[in-house]
Amino acid sequence: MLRSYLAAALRHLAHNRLYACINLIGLAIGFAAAILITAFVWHERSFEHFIPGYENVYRLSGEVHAGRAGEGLSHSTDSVKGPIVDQLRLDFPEIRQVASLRNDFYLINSLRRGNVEAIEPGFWWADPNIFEVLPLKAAAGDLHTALERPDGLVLTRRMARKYFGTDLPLGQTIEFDHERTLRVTAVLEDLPSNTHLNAEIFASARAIPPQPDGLVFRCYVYLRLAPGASPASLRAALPAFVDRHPFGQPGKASDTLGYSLIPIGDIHLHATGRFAMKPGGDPRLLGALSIVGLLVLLTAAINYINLMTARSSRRAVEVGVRKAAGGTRGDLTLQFIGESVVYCLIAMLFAIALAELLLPQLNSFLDRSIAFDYWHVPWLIGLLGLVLIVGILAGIYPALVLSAFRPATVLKGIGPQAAGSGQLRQLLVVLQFAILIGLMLATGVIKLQTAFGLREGLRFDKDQLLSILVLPDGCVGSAFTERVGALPGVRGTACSMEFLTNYGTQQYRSADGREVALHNTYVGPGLFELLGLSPVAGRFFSQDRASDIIDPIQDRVTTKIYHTVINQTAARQLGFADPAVAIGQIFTSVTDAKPGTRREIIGVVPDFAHDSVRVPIDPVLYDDTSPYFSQLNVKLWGARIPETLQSIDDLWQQMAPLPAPITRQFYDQYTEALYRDLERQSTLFSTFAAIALLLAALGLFGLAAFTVERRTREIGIRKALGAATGDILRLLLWQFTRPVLWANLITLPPAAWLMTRWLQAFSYHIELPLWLFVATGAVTLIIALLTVSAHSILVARARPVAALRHE
Amino acid sequence: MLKLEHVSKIYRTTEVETRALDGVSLEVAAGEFLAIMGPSGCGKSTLLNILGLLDSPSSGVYSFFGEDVARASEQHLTVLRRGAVGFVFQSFNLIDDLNVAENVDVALIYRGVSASERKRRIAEALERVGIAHRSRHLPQQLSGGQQQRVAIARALVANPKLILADEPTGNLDTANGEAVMELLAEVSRSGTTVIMVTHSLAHAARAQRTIKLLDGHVVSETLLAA
Repeated sequence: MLRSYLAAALRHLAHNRLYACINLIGLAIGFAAAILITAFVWHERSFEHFIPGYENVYRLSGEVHAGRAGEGLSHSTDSVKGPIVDQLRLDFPEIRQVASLRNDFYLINSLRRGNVEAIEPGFWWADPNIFEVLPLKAAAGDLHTALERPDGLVLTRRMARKYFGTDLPLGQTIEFDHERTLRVTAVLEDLPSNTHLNAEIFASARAIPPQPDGLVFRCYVYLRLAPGASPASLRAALPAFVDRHPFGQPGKASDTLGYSLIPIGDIHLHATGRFAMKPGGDPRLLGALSIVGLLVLLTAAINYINLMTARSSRRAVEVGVRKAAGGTRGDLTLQFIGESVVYCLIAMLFAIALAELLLPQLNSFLDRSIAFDYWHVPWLIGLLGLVLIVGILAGIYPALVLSAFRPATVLKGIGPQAAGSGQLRQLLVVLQFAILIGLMLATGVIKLQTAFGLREGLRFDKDQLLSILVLPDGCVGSAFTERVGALPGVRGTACSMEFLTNYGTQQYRSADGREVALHNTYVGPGLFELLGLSPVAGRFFSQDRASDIIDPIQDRVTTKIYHTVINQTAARQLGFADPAVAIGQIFTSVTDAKPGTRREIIGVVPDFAHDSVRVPIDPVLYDDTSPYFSQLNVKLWGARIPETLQSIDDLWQQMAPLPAPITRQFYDQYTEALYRDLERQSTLFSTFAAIALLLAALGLFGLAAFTVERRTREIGIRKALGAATGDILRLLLWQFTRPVLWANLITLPPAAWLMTRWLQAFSYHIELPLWLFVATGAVTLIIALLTVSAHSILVARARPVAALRHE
Repeated sequence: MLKLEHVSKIYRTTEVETRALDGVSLEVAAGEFLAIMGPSGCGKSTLLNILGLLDSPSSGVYSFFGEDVARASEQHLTVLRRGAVGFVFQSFNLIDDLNVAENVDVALIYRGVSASERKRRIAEALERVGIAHRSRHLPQQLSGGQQQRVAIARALVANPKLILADEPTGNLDTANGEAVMELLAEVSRSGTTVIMVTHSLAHAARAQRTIKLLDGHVVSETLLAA
């Protein structure tokens, strides 16, 4: 019996190539999209799973709050301050191992071997027992002891090849910061992409020079709990730990510091702190992609259902014969469902090939290294399960329709032209186009919001603006700064801290006694002007006024009044509705290293963003303290950028302001990095919209071909009775335009609501433009008309006699 | 063997009621060769469909080999049909996607016959109708006469008690029509009951008895002279 069914299915496929192709291509594309999305989601949800015992490993995050409870500014940070590791070990016996990775501001972290030199973002100082907490896989050497010696260095194969030209350079040496030598004591297998760790080079923390105040910055603390230990009770004990050891917050009452404990498997998708090693994932995007993948698969399944039921009359005789021979409706239903499963199986094979073909591009686009292991049992079960589920669900309706044919009717040759409900087919086309319209609208809104962020998000003029990292206190008055400023392609320079990404949070008391929390960072004279900004009130820092300069923290005194510039949001926080009123006002610090120091507001700068348009602009206070300046900002003339960049690089080579290669970046690149996730979302949605478009068009093409063929005789009669080609064309095109119009009507309002809610997650966003809705509707209509017009025009122009003879 | 008592068949739509059969009573003996004649629309095909359990009467009694099936469910009719009835149609009704052997196989696959037994019976049936040499051809590759032979082989392969032929020579030329009639006569001689609808007096004369229908009634009955 199965052989008879299979033979009928495969031969029917071979004899109806056009429709078979439409079905197979549609299902293959749908399956391929599902495979790739599933692989990506699986990958995102499997971060750190490659680490043995990862379920028992946690990382500490810092919770910084400046201000009273319920007020002020808060943020969490992936790194914590303070010599915390030893205290954790002593205070919590349930912690079996605790170790940290550090990357201090005070060191350059450049590596040099022969002609290869770089500042590696993945360079970390590691406690010697780091591999007890994070047991990464060794390629050579003993990870238990590799970092015991102060000059010990562990690196991945990739880094080994980069610097040493070989995978396993055990015992070889490399130069650090042009000062000291480190020795390779072990090599790691390259880390997979599903890890939050960007670490590829681990140097022994025993070699870190101690800091004068004992503080450690940018420290990532990992701990492995003893089996059976409760993370909940550890979390409950952390506030008391903070009270016992207030690191980094020298006893200021209104400042709070807390720790949170996060399982490392949750870091990628759920950690939201600053100073993340790598950009985190977005669980909402995973959810959205999963839904979109299902919708694409649904679109492909709809094509199958529509084409099978529309062409069911082709199988009417077979159904009648099988029923006359004793086949029950159940037998026939099973037969046609089985046929659907066979279609899906064939389509799945094509889909796997397609997914393999596209995987490298996907990995490159997402910056991941996803791989398929088809013989991995869960994958295999998943693929076969998908074939069965889609095959059965898509096949049920056509099977029920086909198996319902009455043999007495169909065997007499007077069977139905097309069985099943024509209305249902129209409804399914409406659904397909609704999916398409939703995706197109989402794509349009994401693109517009991304463009808005890139263009206007920062709110300052970032064109031709370059930042160059220099040594702290190595910017103002340095020879390098002077020489760069003198280059003909340079419009201007100004020094600062990395003010967009590097700022603290402190508590201040305003003149009327209120306490407010403000971010604080450091910029030099001319910086705001370089950004194209003018004061809203007062003035900016001036090179000619020594009183604008604020001493480093340790040198500040409460007897001086220090000049400061604040932004508009800070002015409002301090109680000045009108920025002009803020000028000359004095307020004092409460929680910085020298509480009680006084600030006088000399100017108010327009709000500009430090982050993407997702977050509101915070209140910021700017100080001119040159020892903290580690960034030279350079505004270039537009006409000579490549030559000027080369000149800057040459100057760097000659003058070596840092014992490391130059690190420079255009501000455009910074904003692009801020919006990379949005741009990725935009590209993903564009791709899926294009796929949905292709599938909807394919389905419509097949339906149109069949419908036109079925109506050929009718068309011949109409033409014989006087209908013109245009009349016939209008008749046929209207049949397929109607569902598209309905799809627009029912989809656009809920899509608009959904996208409005999506936009509201941004602090600053576009308003939904009406033209986008009109354009979306117009595009779908044009696509539908173009798709069906080919067949329609051919038959509309045919001679009536040819149509009337059509059987 | 087959007994119809006052059988009527009414087709109803929302506006129209058509009485295809009106109080037909008929008996068919086992092994009989019966021809049914009448103008278009007289109810011949409806009668054949009811006799072949493809349809149920609106009223009356139909005794099929001793069992009253007039009110039987579709499921039960299918089971009865499976074991006892073979069909031959005017338009052959072969499945285009299956070859000759596979088309004949369709009559066996729902009867729980083993694969080896099916293969044997198919070969036998094809041999009987003289088409075994084309067993792997598709229907489109055969002439009309050859296709009808395949259809007869399909009707015979399950050894049914009853064969119903609805204008089996309607789409064939004279020579092929004669060949098909000879096959049906031979089937009847072997003991199978054959009921045939035909427009051809010459072909009806091959049957033992001919009944004529008009407007859903049996209007005459003719026995073949012995």
